[in-house]
Amino acid sequence: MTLFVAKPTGPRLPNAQRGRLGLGSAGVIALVIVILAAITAVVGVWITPHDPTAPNLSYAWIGPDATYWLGYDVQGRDVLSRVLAGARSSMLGPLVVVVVCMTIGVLLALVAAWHGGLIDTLVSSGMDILFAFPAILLAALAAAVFGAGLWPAVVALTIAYTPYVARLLRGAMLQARNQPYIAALEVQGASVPSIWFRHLLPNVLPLVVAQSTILFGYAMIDIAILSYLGLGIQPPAPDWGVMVSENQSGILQGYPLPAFAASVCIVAVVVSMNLLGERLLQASGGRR
Amino acid sequence: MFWRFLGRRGVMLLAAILIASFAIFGAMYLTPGSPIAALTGGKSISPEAVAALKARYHLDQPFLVQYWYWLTNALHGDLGTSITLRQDVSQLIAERAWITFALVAYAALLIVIFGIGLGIVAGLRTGWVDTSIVVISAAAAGIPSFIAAIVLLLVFSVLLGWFPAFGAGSGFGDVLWHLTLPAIALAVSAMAIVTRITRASVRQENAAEHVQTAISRGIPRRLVLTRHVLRNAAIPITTVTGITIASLIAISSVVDTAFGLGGLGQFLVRSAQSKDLAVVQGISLVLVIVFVVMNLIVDIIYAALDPRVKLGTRAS
Amino acid sequence: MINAADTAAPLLEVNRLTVDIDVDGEIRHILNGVSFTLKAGEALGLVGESGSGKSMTVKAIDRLLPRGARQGGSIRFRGRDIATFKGSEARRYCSEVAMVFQDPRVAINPVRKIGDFMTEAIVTNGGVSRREANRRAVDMLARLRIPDGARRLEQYPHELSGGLLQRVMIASTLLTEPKLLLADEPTTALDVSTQAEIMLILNDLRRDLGLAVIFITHDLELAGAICDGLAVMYAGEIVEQGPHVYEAPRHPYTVELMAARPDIERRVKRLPVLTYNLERHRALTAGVPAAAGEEQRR
Repeated sequence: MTLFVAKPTGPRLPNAQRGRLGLGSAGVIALVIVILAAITAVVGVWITPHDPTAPNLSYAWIGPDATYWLGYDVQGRDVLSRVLAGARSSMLGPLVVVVVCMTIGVLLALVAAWHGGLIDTLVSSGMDILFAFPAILLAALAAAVFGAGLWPAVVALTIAYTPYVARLLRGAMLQARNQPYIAALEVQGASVPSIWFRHLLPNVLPLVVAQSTILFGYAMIDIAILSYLGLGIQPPAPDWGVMVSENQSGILQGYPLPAFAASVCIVAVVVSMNLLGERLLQASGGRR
Repeated sequence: MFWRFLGRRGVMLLAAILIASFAIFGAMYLTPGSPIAALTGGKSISPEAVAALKARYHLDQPFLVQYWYWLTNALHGDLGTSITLRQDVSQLIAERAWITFALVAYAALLIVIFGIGLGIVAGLRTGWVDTSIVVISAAAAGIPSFIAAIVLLLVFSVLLGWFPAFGAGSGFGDVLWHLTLPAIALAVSAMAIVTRITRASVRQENAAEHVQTAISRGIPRRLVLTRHVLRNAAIPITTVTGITIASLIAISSVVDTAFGLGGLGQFLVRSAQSKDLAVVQGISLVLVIVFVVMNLIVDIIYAALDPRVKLGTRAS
Repeated sequence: MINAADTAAPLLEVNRLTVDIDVDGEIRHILNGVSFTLKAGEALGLVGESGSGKSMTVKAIDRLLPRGARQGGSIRFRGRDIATFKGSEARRYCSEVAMVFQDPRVAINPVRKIGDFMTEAIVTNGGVSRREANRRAVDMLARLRIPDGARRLEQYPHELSGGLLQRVMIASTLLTEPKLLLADEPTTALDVSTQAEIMLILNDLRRDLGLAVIFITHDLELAGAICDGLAVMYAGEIVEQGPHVYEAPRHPYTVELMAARPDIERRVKRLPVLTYNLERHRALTAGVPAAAGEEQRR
């Protein structure tokens, strides 16, 4: 009994299907969405077709027309203008959270992994205690103390996320630190900062980048949630979370478009960021 | 061994709660604005009355003494008085807590049944069943709870009229009916995460060499699945599911607000907005304790499921 | 069930075995017509480079081919094609052919007790009571020079050393009273002193129980010392087999392989590098029956 003999075909690399960036078609779409959102965050406030904050109650809940492509919201403002202008605060908040979290997380992880012993124990148990505070709860506390706004929310989320980041990076950093060539560098008398920033950090950089995109998604959801709850950005400022909150009553009255326009923006960016993060994580995992 | 582990974790738990309580009280102490003004609602009163109020609320004492009074009172169930509602905070919390816990329990049930169930199915199957579960869960994981809430509201309350749009109802069946949409909204993204972890864990265990060993010894497929694949995959699955469910306690404030359920979450948000500090402190303390205790339970289950765990650390 | 005809037939006949695996749409030929026979009580050493198809051969015999693998040719156990075994026959085959895996750390479920692992097969398929199964397990451990068996049964795999765990693995396979033991590099994952011990145990058991054994190993000395014959694999084929291989290899690949062994008696500056490659192999085997007598698949 002999089975067929197939002609050998050329080796097909998994990356061949995923293009040069290794993202795949879904990844490329995600990247385009994120870039578009980022551009809108920068220039959005200048390209609004109408004033995003000028109310005109007589137009409330009117559907799209030729010059108001997404119609009017609860106060008769142009939905498209508010979506464009709202990109800035919706993207800026998560960006600040991610940058600050990653900076603090990387430094804490470096110090803990490098020194070990008591310092490591202190940092790790400090992080463990911070775990006791869920992000939303911390944000509610911050809003109660400092008043509701974007910055208390950003501070609260930064505090809430840092333990996750620090714990994750500490593990990766410890792994990198225990590699023989790091010990070799130490013996050779390389300065500590040079080992940290020229050897340890590049080792965990792919993980930092991948985790940053995933964290961005989480931060975006949480900031939107806080704005929706009235503990974050305050109306009438244009912001996607605020838009969902303001226009929620429209859903019950049969005018879902304003709330959905903002929802779609949030979900699109979050899903894209998660997808990119996963792809980057796979790519960084494959390289090790 | 196990009891020592439990004891050590218990001490860590108390330390975490103590530090958390300190942080909660400290944050409130830092609040700009005079607590007297908050107590009097901004009305001007005589200096004697101010002094009396200060003495009554120990406001003339140093910070640590005030914290001590607050903590010992809290331990006795006295969390102070709400300035907006003029009622006992413990009482107010007790009236609302059941809604939050019922909501989280309902969502937890959905996560366990559908999240883990779909994950197992996707983990064991290949082809379109697996692909569609993977794609749907990837999308669902990105849906924030408040967006899930408004979509469900639109479709099932407004358009179809199957479920109520507001309130928590009364009586078991009615509450179940009222809480169905909120529980789904709360569970959606968590369910997706659990599904993905379950699928990955089942896949990983299914490919493990010890499973090959069992198959090579002629153990029936069904037993290989329950005794080896699912038994071992249960370790990461319970950990992730447990932590995810614990995190719902805080996120419940979103669906609580969206559906106007009147649970602890909505109360917390309203009190934070109106700067009703005693209430925010009280609810924060309760939620932190519940959250920490749930995480401890997850750790204990983890240690019980995995004999390799050095009783004391959670391998993440 | 065992009649005269069965016992007269060789225990195992592998006849022109082929295995093809689909890797991302590309068909890979893992085995290209492997044939050999094994009598009861006989020991065969399967040697060759990594990727030459040794593991796949024993996997096919143990019916453990990966999903999507296509098998051609036949494997007969006591004269009957193993592909036809179903239900109770299949379970009996599983108990008669046992596999000792390379790394006991991953081949034994880490979260179940040693006792569960050892007795699982005889309790589930053999209908033996748990109590009786435990007694047998303790006896078998004692036979493998593990004295405190009753305590071991209550322990978890991570509490045992690698060598001890491999002895547990071997003991557990013997509980079903197999006729054929497949040992896929049973000592590779262990340290050197333990390796010798495990091989000694396996060799003794083989003699005592009349077990047929297929050893997969990289260690030519070891294979030559304990096996009745060697089969040398290259690129999914057996290039040479028989009792002569260790002492007097004939096939050019085997000659080179034997010459490449490090020798403590003889000092060399550098170990020789094998010059035998796939092109030479193809040229050599084109149209010509291989030394071991397989027919080439075309």
